[in-house]
Amino acid sequence: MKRNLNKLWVAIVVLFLVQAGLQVRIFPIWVRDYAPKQTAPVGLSPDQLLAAVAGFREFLAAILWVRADSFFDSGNYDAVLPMLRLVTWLDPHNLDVYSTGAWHMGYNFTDESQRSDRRYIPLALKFLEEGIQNNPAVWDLYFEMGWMYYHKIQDPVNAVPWMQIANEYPNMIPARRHMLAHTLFKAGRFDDAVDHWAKLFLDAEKDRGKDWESSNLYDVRQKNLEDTILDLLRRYGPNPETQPPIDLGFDATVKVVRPRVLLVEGKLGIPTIGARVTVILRDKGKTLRYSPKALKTFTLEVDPKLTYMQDSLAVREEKFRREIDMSKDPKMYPFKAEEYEVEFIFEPRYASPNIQDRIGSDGVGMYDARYLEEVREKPDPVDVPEYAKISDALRREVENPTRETSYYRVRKVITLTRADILMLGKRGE
Amino acid sequence: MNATLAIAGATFGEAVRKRILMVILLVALLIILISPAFEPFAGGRGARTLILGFGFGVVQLAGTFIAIILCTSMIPTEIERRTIYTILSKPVQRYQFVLGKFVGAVGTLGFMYLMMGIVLMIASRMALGEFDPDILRGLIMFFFQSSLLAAVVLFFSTFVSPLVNYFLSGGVFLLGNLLSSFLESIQRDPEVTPLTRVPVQLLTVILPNFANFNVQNPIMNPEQVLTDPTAYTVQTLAYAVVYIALLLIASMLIFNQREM
Amino acid sequence: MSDLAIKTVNLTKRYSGLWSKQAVEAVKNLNLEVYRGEIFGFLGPNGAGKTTTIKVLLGIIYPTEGEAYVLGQPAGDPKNHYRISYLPENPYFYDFMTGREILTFYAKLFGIAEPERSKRVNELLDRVGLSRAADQTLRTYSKGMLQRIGLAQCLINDPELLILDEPTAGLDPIAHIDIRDMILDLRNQGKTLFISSHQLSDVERVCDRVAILNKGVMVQLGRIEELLAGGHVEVIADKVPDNALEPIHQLGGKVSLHDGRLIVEQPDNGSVDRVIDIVRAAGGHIISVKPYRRSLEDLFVETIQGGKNA
Repeated sequence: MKRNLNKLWVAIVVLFLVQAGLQVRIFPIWVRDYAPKQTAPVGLSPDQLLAAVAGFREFLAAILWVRADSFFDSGNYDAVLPMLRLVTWLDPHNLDVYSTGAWHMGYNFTDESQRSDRRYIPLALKFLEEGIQNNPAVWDLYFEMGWMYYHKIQDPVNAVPWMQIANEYPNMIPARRHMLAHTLFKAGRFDDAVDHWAKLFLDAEKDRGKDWESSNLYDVRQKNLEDTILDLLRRYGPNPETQPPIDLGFDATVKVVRPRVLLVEGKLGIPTIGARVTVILRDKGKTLRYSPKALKTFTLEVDPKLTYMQDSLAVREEKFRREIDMSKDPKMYPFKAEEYEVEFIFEPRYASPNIQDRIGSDGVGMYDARYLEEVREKPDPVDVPEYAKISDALRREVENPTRETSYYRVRKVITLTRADILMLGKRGE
Repeated sequence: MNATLAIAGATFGEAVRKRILMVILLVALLIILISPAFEPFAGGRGARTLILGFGFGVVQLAGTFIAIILCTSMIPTEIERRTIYTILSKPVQRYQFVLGKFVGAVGTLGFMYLMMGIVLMIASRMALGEFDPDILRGLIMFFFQSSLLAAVVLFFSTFVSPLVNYFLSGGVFLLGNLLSSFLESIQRDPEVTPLTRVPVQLLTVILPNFANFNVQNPIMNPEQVLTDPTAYTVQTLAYAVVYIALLLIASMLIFNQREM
Repeated sequence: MSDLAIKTVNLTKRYSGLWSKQAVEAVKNLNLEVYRGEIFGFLGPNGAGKTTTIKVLLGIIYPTEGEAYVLGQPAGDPKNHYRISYLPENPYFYDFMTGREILTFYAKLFGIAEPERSKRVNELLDRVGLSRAADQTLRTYSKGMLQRIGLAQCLINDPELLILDEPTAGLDPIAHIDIRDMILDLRNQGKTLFISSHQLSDVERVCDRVAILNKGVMVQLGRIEELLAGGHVEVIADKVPDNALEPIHQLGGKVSLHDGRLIVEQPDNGSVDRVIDIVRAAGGHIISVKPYRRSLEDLFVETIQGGKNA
């Protein structure tokens, strides 16, 4: 009897060690595939917490997301932010929340004149990064990241790696694959863009007659391939339309007409209509870093002391002029710093095709005596999650980018002080 | 073996006649059946998350309650009513009694899960028009989770009163669900010292880990790609079996010494 | 040892009080011997330690000191339980089962397989008179019916030793007699019966030996006849002249007159003959001579009250 008892104690110890070993092996897989979000939740009441734990997580996430929808409808955008945090905590595999949330942060915070609060963009990028880390094996959020760079930030060079990763996934929506080609083209990698169109075109040719969708895809890709080649020929081939370069005669001025209200005007010698000049006002020396690495962790709040304004000015008859009123949005334009830079930029990559026909897609056809710059850049290195389904070659390339591209632009910077902008010292303020 | 099975059968017979358990089962079935009515509230992801997410939540909750309510009083009631005396005066080893009780409890849980599973699959078939075999996996995992919980409750019932057991088992269940998440958030945070981290790691391998069995997420996000779900399923079920065996042996050892 | 159905050696059971400082000794140094084939009565007031002793014999609790043996084996060994059976006081069963189902359940615990199992269950139901109610749930049974099911489950395995705790409690007089007959019948089959009971009249009628337990200590043990020896004889006579009364009185018995009749309660020590002689010599007429044993109740009360005063 004593011996049997001892055997049982031994059995207990052995079983304990076995379950401990199993648990250690199970844990990482659980974290990757089934866990709710890592960070502790903010703003969940205890019973919501309990419900979350008891297996209702996804359901609760869905309900909260519907609530978030109603906030969207009523324009209560601030309330949506904590919802993003809660919902992704409950269900980190809900792709819709990540993509919608990032869109929301990037596009929906605006001032009275519909100018975006660009301080939210690094938040959006961080949010997408988190989404990618939780869902590395699907293409969707890589695409969203690429799109944010391409469309909102207008930085095609950094959009490329993300689009490339998304493209590696076999179940990506076919039409979305076109974005990589557009991105490559805007980034100045013209041959790669053409190559990609050709590849897409050949793929489409295989399934061409299957159904309407497939033949439509084929037509679109064929057209894009032709148009791209024709554009390149027109701009860079023999007898390019981009030569001789056009003298832009670029200049710009800033005048403070009322406290926090600026009148910007200048000239840009492009005869074709549709040119746009970007104007940025920011705290001197503090440029916004558009990168998921800009923030250590995801927060719901932007730096309240940072001022950043960006607008796009239409050029008419080679002149541009706009009154920029920043007095109505004190939260967005706090004006706490002592000095500010007003920056004017014109660049060719996002200009309309007519304009690019004249000045080239990379600006070879434009010239300015004072403000012309060549921008040479490589994409920022990208941290690809371990379980992303990409080839080793691509992984090496995006983690350590080597390919450099360049383009020309004109840029002018004017410094203002706080006193200038607030018109202090005048009228006894 | 005969005696164990006979006791299991008696336990099962008593359990399925226990009114409160039947009420819980019925309420769960009703809720699952009428859940499609809540569809307008679920928004974009709609029927799938609603029926399955809510349905799984209900199943798991019901299974948890049933396991706890059934097992807290299983052994103490037999002692209090002295029905155990006539049994132990027969050629029945004490361990056979414990084992028989557990087998009966698991049988009861299996019956409950079967009922709930059928209704869930009918509801999902009706509302979503399809039958996803992954639902079966989710149900089986939750069944093992409830069985593990039953073993925990049974273990405690060999030496604490039912009232204390409710709190003890409830606490262990809650802790066992939250520990994994907690450990994960600690591992992510580089500012956490080993002084805090190591005890949590230890706790995770000591306490029964109930969170492992929550596999319903991919069912509601079917575009997700999982890392080797078969291996995960096998390992987690093995974990359940090993831990249950551990608890049963410990229960038997304690019960052997128990005076009544 | 094999002729002893039950044997305890200095059996002591102590419960240590958690809140009170003193430990409670439910059973103190009990040395009990029950022979095979006898009907043994186990008596004592409530709290005397009877139930504790039985629990030790069945292995439900364990001795603090000393040893207990049942049919030659250490008490509590489940393998031994094939040969014994137990009827608890106020038996309580799974009341959702029917009479048949509960007996089948117990039969399964013995490993009795079909078709033998059904056969035995039916026989037992017949024997205890519950064939008609066999398929009703136990919840509907009266106390008497429950007691009978209890007896039935005692007999499933045809045991050598039966331990019965209050087998006749709450039964009507007919049932009492039935049970008593059954007990005697079992003894005639060679079985040993160990009966704990407050029904002293039943005990007196069927038991061969009894023990009386008081405050955990055995204070009486012996054969019934021996323990109850020393009663009195009642002599009733009439037409006894007054002058005969004094000599009769001197013999030590209680003398009373009732309706002209002389009633003498004479200690049963051989002096009854002398009383009769005196009456007849005086010309009286003996109407009846009736021996009265001491009743078990008397013995019990004496013992316990004596214990109280000791």
